[in-house]
Amino acid sequence: MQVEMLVLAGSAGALDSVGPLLRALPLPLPWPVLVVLHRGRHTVADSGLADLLSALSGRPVAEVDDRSGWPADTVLLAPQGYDTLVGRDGPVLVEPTSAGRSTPSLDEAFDSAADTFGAAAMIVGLSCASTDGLAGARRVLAQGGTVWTLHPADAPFPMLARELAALPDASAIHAEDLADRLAALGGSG
Amino acid sequence: MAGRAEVQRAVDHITGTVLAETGYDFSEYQVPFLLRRLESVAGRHGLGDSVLGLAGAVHAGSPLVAEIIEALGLAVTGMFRDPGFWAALRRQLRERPPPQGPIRCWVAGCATGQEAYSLSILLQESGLEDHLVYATDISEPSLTAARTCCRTVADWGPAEESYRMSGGTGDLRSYFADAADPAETFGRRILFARHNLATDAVFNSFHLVLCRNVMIYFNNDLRLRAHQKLYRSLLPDGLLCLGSRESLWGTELATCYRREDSAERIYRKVL
Repeated sequence: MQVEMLVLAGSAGALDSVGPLLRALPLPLPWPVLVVLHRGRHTVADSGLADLLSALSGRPVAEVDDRSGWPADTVLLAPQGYDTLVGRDGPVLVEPTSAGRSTPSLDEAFDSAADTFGAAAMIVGLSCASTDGLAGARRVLAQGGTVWTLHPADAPFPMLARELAALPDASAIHAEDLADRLAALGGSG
Repeated sequence: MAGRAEVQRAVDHITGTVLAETGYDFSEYQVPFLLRRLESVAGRHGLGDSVLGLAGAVHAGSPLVAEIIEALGLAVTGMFRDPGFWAALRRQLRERPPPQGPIRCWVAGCATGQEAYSLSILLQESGLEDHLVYATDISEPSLTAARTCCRTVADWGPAEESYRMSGGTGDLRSYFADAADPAETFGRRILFARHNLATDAVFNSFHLVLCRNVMIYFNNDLRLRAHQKLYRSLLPDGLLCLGSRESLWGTELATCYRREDSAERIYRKVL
């Protein structure tokens, strides 16, 4: 398994699980890491969520800015009010085109990670109260990438996790093991 | 997986065909954005959800060209969208109003016009009734919609909520419903016109320029050229308003502006 890009994603209820996972990531970060969590529809210039995640994880976390690139050893957080696409040189912000769906979109992040990094894209689905992300995960798998999901039994909102766990070649991993599995990725960059 | 060069060739073929057929130039847009929107078109036509499949189907005279333009130009806007920004602009205009006389503003990339109407209302409520808003876009269909959008708002609820969150204390709907002819009322204050930020020249000088979430779609070269045009369009002490996650980074213009709000991306031209 060759990883060059990691996307961790879920709905707002996944916040609690993100901190320990980020804390477990190898240092220095061997590849860019993007966290995508559903958030409110209004754009907020500074939500404070990056600071919160940084405090929870002990890692530098910054919200994506236009042209922010992939700064070394900093986890990026998809900002509110935009969808965040994964580009080779950095994240690319776009405006959500559908008013009815949750943002930032997990599907858009996963799809673009698959487009850009192909078999080297890795996504981890977390607690999510919708199936946003399922189509993107299928695309990641189709390009030869890696799909992990928090085991549905451990997800407060397991809708996405159930669907991901049912995908051939996706791995459903229990919460107590997920951090260790991520930590072990250090050698794959 | 198709190689990067192969995908880039496919994107180039599609944007080249669109340019030749219509004059719309998307060749300097960010590739991940182009891929996502083009793949959505490919998916709707059973072309394997793939830009390579779409490239094979796009040719001179193809009806897909119009659909591609629609997908790439898909406008996202709303009355007082991002109310935090509008609240910050209200504060800015209250604390440091522009000089006496007509206020000239430019909404670059106005899409279907809601930002232009929002700005005109905010200026009126800030005591700046004497203003003219130039609202421009590359898309003629968007401009056509913009000229009448105040008559076609389907759901006022979100617009009124955003208006109130922006600090509006009046009745948003009354600006349109109470006017004998809203288009006529705003027509004296808003001028919709076609302008391409990528290729067209600077056309006036302004006290206030809004270009929010337009340049996020541009590659670095095009973004830099657009920023230079906006800079040349601003009067000394003029305000440049960008999207919440945009900045002047990489434009070499950072020292020419002073950021005026700690949270929102509102910059004043100082050099």
